[in-house]
Amino acid sequence: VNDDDDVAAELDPERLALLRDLDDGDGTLLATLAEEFVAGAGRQLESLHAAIAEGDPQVVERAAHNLKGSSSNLGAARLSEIAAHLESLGRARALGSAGDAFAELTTEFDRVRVALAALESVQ
Amino acid sequence: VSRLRVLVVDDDTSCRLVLKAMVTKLGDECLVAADGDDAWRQFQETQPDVLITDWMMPGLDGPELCRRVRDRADGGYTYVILATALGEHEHVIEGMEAGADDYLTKPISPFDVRARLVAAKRVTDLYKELDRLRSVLATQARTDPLTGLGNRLRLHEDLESMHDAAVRYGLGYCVAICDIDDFKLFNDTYGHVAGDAALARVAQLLADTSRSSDTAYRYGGEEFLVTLVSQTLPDAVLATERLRVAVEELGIEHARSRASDVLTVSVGVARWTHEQLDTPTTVLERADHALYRSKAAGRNRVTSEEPGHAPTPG
Repeated sequence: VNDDDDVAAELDPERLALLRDLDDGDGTLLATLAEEFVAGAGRQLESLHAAIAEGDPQVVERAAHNLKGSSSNLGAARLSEIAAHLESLGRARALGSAGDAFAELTTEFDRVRVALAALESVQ
Repeated sequence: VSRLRVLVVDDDTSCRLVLKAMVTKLGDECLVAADGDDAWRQFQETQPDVLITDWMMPGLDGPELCRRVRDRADGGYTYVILATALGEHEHVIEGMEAGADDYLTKPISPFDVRARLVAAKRVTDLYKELDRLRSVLATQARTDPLTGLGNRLRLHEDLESMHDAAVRYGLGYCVAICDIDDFKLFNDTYGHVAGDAALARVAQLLADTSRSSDTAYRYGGEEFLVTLVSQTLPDAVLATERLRVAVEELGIEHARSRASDVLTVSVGVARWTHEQLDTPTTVLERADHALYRSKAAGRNRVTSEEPGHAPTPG
């Protein structure tokens, strides 16, 4: 029960139910999604990290935009919100507070990753 | 019920997977592309019914992809749906102006996809029906309803392309105008129903007797025109003479004809001369002139435009 509560804090249960429902029967869709999401988000976090260090707002905007979409797709609403904030910083070419937002993003990403792992062990 | 072919473009793998699962769950076919360039390539290869495209992606972005899809020249229509994040109102408007039909808000729900595909099915079916009707009407507009032969519109289009090909490849072509002898007297004697039947029989014969590369058209009331591709004038006269004999051998009674006791045709033949100023119109004029000479010489004969090709005996 505690596990489920942890998951619910990071991943929207309604979205998870919807994704489970999409499975064509072999029960692997959610696991595949989690795997692809973690790999893809990992790449976006790397380019965000580099782009913030180099002060490249366009790359920040693009990488954050991608992360915003992929995290909302998986029901990671909080992660999506932080990514949206970083995206707007990139669009405004105002990366002053981008480092703080990035730190928040990585912390939240780690929580989501733990939640996704818990999800798979539950299944 | 036919399935829709849906092309999904998103640079994020997990987003692509979810959208594909939603589309295939509805029983439709789903292709996926990872960026705008890949999408454009697949679009040209597969011509999907529906395109669901992300806004921001590597390569072509969403609006540019919309514009390219809308600029395609063939008759097909692709229903374009733009996938945007919540609140990106300016993106939605820009995308719709670039040619999108509708939009989806991320995270995309199966319900929204289903609703959009219902509209997409209706709209793309309508475009397919329009395309079919357009092609039926285009054929009808170029066909003579009585004889089933091509009419003057088809003739002029075909003559233009035949002429262009002759100029480009140094080939020649001939035209033969065939006019039924004393057709007014035929109608006056046997009635217009019999006249129509005679026209249809002569048309059928011309179509059946012409070589496969040659084409017969209804040129006017009782006038037919045959185009003969890449033939010399003597060969064209020979081919046309076969047509004239075949009409005579139909043996359609024509008691008041001044040429024979059966229905006959007079023919004038002319050939494009390779001269720059010679156009399909001047070739037709020369064929018409030769036709008058056939009439003046007693009808039921083939006359070519040049001296040296004697009119055939009637």
